[in-house]
Amino acid sequence: MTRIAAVGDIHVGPDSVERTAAGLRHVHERADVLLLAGDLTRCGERAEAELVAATLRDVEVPVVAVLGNHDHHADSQGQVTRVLADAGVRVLDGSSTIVDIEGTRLGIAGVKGFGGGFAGASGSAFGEAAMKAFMAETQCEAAALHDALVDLAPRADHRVALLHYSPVPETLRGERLEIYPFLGSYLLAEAIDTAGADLVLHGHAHAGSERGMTPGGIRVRNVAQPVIQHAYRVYEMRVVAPDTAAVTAQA
Amino acid sequence: MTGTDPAQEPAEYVISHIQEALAQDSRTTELGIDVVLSGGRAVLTGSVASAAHRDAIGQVATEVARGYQVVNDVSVVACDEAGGAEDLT
Repeated sequence: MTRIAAVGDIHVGPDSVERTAAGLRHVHERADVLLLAGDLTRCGERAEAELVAATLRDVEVPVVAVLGNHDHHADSQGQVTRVLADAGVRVLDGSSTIVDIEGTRLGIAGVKGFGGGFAGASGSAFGEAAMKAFMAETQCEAAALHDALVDLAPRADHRVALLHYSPVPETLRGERLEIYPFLGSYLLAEAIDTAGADLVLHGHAHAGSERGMTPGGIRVRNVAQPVIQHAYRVYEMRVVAPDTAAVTAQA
Repeated sequence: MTGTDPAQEPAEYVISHIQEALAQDSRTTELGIDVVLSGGRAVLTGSVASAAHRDAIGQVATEVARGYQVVNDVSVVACDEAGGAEDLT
């Protein structure tokens, strides 16, 4: 069994380092890997990244992360990534990694993602240059996620898509409808459904809901800490043997 | 027609100015706070990572609330160890 601990939007600052570290101290007893769904800092400065690294120092399982919009605010995302990488965190940005968990290969494809809105109410790359650039950012993120998931397909037993922005509106329930276009995009879900995955994790929507599903039937979980109200959430997955799957399908 | 008296600024602008200050001020850099104006009060709700951050949000909002009494109902997010696991098999 593969046990995945996940949390996003921990927003570590000088006043919350100890609290956050304490919550993660025993994660190795409950999970095999810790996935961080972005917004690890408050404004993306190097000093904050060092606090995040200190927070994760005692975590005894592999840590995989994507950055969020807060981690980009100071335009120092490269430094943030390096500080976290030096602390052993695998930071994904249109890339993937595999964690071997007692012979089970957990593949994780990660992007920050971006906004744009959802089917029937999405922005288009049309008109002013600023609008085209806005949607191009989402299109690039979606394409990178698709390619990273496809790359994992022949090599992983389970595939997880790790994002900051949401691919579906269901996990935004609780947020104001007017800000949905700033919280995610259907382009991300389309990329995931086309490439295939077993689970999608994201953050960003503090007032959203935990559970949703892509139009293609892949589970989506919003693990923003204000949503899950815990240090992290644990998701368990088993590799289903072909014989078992056949029996299940006939039942 | 003359411009709007700052002392009688429409509620929409006051709410937006408070939220913009919370996003841009380096003491807060916070995007997820809801603001409701009611009976001369500006009520802040949402959740943040620490009590000190919540207090900073109240301070920044007070500085730009233009005569409204700020009611800081922002909560501190719980981050104790995880509860039960969800089986996705």
